[in-house]
Amino acid sequence: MKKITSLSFIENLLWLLNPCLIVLCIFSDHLTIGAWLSWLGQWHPVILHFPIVVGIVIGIYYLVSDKYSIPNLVEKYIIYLYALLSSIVALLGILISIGGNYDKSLLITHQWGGLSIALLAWLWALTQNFSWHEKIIVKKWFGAISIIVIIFFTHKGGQLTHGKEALALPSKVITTIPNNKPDSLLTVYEKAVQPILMDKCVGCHGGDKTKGELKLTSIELIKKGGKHGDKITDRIHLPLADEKHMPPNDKKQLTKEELSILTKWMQLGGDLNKALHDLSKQDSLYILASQYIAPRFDKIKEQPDLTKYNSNYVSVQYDFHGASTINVNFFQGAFYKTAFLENLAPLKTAIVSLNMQSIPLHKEDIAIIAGFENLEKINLNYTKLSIEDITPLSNLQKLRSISLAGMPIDTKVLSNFLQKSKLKKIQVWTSGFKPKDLDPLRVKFPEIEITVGDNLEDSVMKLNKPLIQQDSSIITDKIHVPLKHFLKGVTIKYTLDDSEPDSITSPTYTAPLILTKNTTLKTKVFKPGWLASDLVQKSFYKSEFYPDTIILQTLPDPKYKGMGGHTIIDHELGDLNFGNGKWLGYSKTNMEFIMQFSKATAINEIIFNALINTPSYIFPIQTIQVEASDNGKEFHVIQNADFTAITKAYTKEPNINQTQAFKVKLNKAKAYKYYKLTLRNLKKLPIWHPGKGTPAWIFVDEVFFN
Amino acid sequence: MNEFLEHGLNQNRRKFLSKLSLGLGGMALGSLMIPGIFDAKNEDDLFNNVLPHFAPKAKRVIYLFQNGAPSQLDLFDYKPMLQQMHGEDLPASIRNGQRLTGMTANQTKFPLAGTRFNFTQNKNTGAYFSETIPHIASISDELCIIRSLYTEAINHDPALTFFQTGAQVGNRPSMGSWISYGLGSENKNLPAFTVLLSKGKGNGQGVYSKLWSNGFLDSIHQGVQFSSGEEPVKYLSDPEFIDRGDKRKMLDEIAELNEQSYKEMGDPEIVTKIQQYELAYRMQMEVPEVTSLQNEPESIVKMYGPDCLLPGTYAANCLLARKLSESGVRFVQLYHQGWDGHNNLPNELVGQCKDVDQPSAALIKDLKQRGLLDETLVIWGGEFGRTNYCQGKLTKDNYGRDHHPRCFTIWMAGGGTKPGVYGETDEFGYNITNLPVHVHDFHATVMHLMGVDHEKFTFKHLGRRYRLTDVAGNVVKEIIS
Repeated sequence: MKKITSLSFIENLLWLLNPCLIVLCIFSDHLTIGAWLSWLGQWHPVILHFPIVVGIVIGIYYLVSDKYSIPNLVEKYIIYLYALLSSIVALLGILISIGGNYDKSLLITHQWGGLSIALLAWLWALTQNFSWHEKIIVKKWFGAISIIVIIFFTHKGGQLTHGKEALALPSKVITTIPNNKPDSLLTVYEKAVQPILMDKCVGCHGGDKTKGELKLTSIELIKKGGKHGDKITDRIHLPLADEKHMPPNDKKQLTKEELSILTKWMQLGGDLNKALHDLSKQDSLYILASQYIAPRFDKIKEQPDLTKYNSNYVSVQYDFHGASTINVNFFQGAFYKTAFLENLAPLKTAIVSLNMQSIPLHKEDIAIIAGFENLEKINLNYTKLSIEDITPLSNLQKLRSISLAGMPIDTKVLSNFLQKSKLKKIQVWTSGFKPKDLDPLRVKFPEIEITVGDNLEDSVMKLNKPLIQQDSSIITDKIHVPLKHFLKGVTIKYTLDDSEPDSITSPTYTAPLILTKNTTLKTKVFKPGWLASDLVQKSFYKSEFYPDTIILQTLPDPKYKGMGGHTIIDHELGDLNFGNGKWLGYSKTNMEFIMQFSKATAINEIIFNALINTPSYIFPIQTIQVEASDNGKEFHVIQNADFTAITKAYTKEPNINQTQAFKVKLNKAKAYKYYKLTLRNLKKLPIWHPGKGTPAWIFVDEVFFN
Repeated sequence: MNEFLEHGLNQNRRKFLSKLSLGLGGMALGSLMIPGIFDAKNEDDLFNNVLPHFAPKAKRVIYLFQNGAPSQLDLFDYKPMLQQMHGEDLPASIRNGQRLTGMTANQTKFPLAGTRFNFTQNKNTGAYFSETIPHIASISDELCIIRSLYTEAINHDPALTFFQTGAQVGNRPSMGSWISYGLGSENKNLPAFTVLLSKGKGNGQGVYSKLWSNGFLDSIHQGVQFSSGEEPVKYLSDPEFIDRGDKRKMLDEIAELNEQSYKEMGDPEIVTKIQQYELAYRMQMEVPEVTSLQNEPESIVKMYGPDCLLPGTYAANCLLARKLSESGVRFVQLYHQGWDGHNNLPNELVGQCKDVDQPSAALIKDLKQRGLLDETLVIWGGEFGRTNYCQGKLTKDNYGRDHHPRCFTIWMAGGGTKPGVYGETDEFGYNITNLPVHVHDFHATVMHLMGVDHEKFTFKHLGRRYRLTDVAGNVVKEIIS
C-alpha cells in the first residue's frame, strides 16, 4: 500500500498546483512577485527539458508500441511524474515571465500552451482508472496530441529566448539596418525605398504583422503583393477617403515625394540592385531619391514614462498612445528657466513638436533646441528673440514648420535662414510690418508656404462707443458719472450743453463728472488713425419732490404693468428693453393717474421719461394734460402740453429705438396737494407703418418733479 | 485486484471534498501573489490611459456656437428657386407631411421666402456667402462647410442639449467635458474646458449651465464659465494684506484637513475640491495674463474690431478664445445669443452678423498667422436651421423663419479639416439630397480629429457604458484632410 500512498501524494499535489496555475495564468498581467519567487522562476529553463523528454517518450511509446507491455503501475508512475513536472515547469514559467521583457503575443501563446500541456497530462493521470483508458486507439490519440502540443508550444518558448528565427530554415531576408555608405555606393532601394517602407509600411506589413497578407521584407514578397494580389502601388494612390487607401488614414501618410519614389522604382521593375549613380542626373527618380533623407530608426527602446518631465510650466506628452514621438509645451514665461529645456535631454530625439510661445528665450536656449534633431514643428511666437538668434535652427533637417509671430522681421536674415532650412511652412507676423515686403521671398522660395497675417494698422476704422458707467439717471443731490473706453490712447470728449462733442473745442474727460442739475451728457471718443466713434448720450434728471401715493386711473396693459404705479416713481429707469418690467405700457387707453403729496407742493416742471420704438409700435406721447386739486375731488386744468409735432416729423418708417424726456413747464406755479395727469397715445398709426390704423403704444418708466 | 483498486481510486464524496479543498487552496495560493485581485477596479481608467487612440490632427477646439439657430438660407445655402417662388406655397411633395413646431403648425399657408440678400460664390470651393458676412467670405478658402447637417430635435433646448451632450435629455456630459476627461488640459494652470457667453440684439434663447455640465463625469471636467465683466474670473486677485506665501500655507492646511476627511468619508468630491483650490491658486498667475486684452497690438484690435476690447461682446470672446486656446485650453466654448428669427429675420440677421462676422473671421486669420490653425479646430454653427417658408407675415423684404431640423449649415476651419463644401440640399433648401451628416456623425468626426475613437471612449455609469455618440455616429472621413 505504500506505493499507492506516494501516488496519492502526487495526485494531491496536482490538485493543489493546477488550480493555482489556472488562476496565475488568467491574472498573469496583474502579478507581482518577490525576489525569492523570481529566483525560483530562473529554474524554468533548467527543468523544462524533463517533462518534454518524458512526455515525448510516453507519446512515442503509445504511438509505436502495440502490446503496451510495461506494467500498469509503472506506466501510472511515469504519467503522474509527467503531470507533476509539467505543472511545476508551467508554474515556474509564469514566475519567470513576470518583469521579463518578452514579446507579448508570443508569451501569451506559450503561457496558455504550457498550461494546456500541464492540464492535458493531469487529465490523463486522473482518468487512469477508467476502462476506456486501456483502449489502444485512445492511447494512440493521446500520444499524437501530446507530441504535437509539446513541440508546437515549447517552440514558442524557444522563440521567446532565442528570437523569432529560432530553428527557422535559412532564408534571404533583406537587411533592415540603415546604411551609412556614401550615396554613390547606394542602390535606389537602400537609399530611399527601404527607408520609406520601414518608416511608413513595415509596422503592419512585415516583421511581426502581415496585415492583408502583405509582407514587405523581401523583394519577392514585395513583388508578390497582398491577399488579392494587390501591389503597394495599387493602394497608395487611392484617395484618402477610400477605405482601401494605404497607409490607413490615421497613420502617418506618404509624402508626395515618397509616393513618386515608390511608384517610379516599381515602374523600373523594382530592381534591388539598381545603383543610384546608374540613373541619369536628370531622372526624376534620381533627383527625388538623392534628396530623400531617411528618418532615423533608432527609436528610444523602451518608451520612458513622461510623468517626471511634466510640471505646471512644462507639458510633455506622447503624440498619442503608443507613439514614440513627443510634443512639448511651455507655459508661464515668468517662471521659465533654461534648466527646463536641459531636463528634456534624454528625450531629445523623440521630440517632434515644441511650443515655446511667450517664453522669454535666449541664445543658449536655442542652442539646446538645435539639438532636438527630429523636431518637425516649433512655435516661437513672442519669444523676444530675433531671427538672427534662431539661426542655429536652420540646421534642423526635419524642421518643417516654424511660427515667429511677434518677432521683428529682417528680410535679408530671414532669406538666409530659409535658404539653409528644409522648411515647408513659416508663419511670421509682427506689428509695423507690411505683408508685401515678403513678396520677394515668396518668389525666391516658391515651395515654402509663407503666411503673413493681415496688417491693419494703417486701415482706418471707426472707434466703438464710450461707456457711461452710471446706471442711475436721477440726481437727488449730485451724481458721479465715470466715462470709459477700453482702447489705449483714446481721447474722450464730452459736452453738457446739448451740443455735439468735437475733437477740438469740447472738454476732454479726465475724471468722473459730477452733475447737480438736469443735464444731457453727450460723449464721443477720438484717436488718430481712427474715425470718431458714434455719439453716446444720456439724460440725467433732477428730482426734488416725491409724491406719497400714485393712483392709476387707467390700468396699463397686463403684459406691461411693471410694479403698478410705483414703477414710475421708483427712481429706476427702464432700459431699451420694454419687456423688462420697469415700464408701464398703454395702447387701448390713455394713461391717467393721480398723485398725492403729503403737503401742498408747488411744482415748476414735470418730466416724463418715455420710450420710442417705432418698429415695435411704441410712439411718442401725443399730449399731456395736467390738472390740479386741493381735495382730490374737483380738478381743474392748469396746463396742456402738445408733442404731436414729433410724430408728424416722421414721414416714413424711421426705425427709432430710444428713450426721450417729455417736459411740461407749469407757469406761475401754485401749491396743490393733488395732481392729475393724462397722457394721450397716438390713436391711429400713420399710413407708412405696418400697423397703420391701429393705436400706438406709449411706454413710461419715470416721472420727475422740480 | 484491478477492480478493487479501481473502486478505491474512484471518486467518493470524502475524496471529492478533500481534493476540492486542495484545489481551492491552490487557487488561494495563486491569488496571494496577485495584489488587488478582489478589488473593484474602474476599468475606465484603462480607457483613459490609452488616449489619444491615434495621432490627433487637432489639439484644441474653439466652438463658436450661434445660439438660436442662424438662417442657413440667408447665410450659406443659396437657393435662387426660393426667390423665384417668393410668396408661393411650399409644395406638399417637398414637405411630405413632416412635423412642424407649435409656432407654425396652425398656419394655413406656408409661403416660401426667398432671401433678401445677395450672395457671392467662392470660385475654388463653390461655397456661397451672403453679403451680410463679407469677412467670413474673405476666409472661405480655409472653410470646410457642411450644408447637410441634420438633427432630431425641433425646439431650442433639446436641440442645444443634443448638440452639446449627444442626447436631448440634459444629464450627459458636454463635449468639452468628454474632451477634458479624455485628454486633460495641456496647461495645468488653466481649466481644460472654458465657456464664454455673449448676447446679440436679435431674438434670443437662453443658455443654461447644463450645456457645459460634466454629467456623470467627475466635476473637475465641468466647463468653467468666464464672466462677461471686466474681470473674467472673479475673486482671483488676492485680498489686501495676504501675500502668496500666506495663501500657500493656508491652502496646504486646508488640503490637509480635506485629505483627512476624505480618508474618513471617501467622498471623491473632496478630492475634486482640493484639486479645484490648487487650480485656482495656479490660475491666479495665469489668468490675468491670458485675459488681459489691453496689451493686444492695435492691428489685432482692428482685425477683430474695436468691440473686442469691450468685455462681454462676441468680439472680445473671440479674442479671449484665441488667447485661452493658445495657452493650452483644450475646449473653448462660445455661445452667442440672438439668432432666433421668427419674425423680422432679415433686420435681426444684419445686426447679428455685424456682431459675429468680423470677429469670427479674425479668429481664423489670427490663428493662422500664429501657426496654430492647423492644430486648432474652429467650429461655427447653431443647433438647427430655419424654414424656407415664412412664419408670420411675408412682405417683399421682410419675413420670419421657423425652426428647421432637417437641414442646416455649419462650418469648420483648421484642425485637420479639408476646406470645401460637403453635402447638398434640394433646390427648396428643405431636404438633404446628398451626404447627410447627423449630429452623432459630427461628434464622431470632431472626436476623430482629436485623435479619439468615439466608439472606444466610454464611461461606465449606472451599469452601462456611455459614449458621446451613444450607439451611433460615423466619422465623416471626406472632410478630413
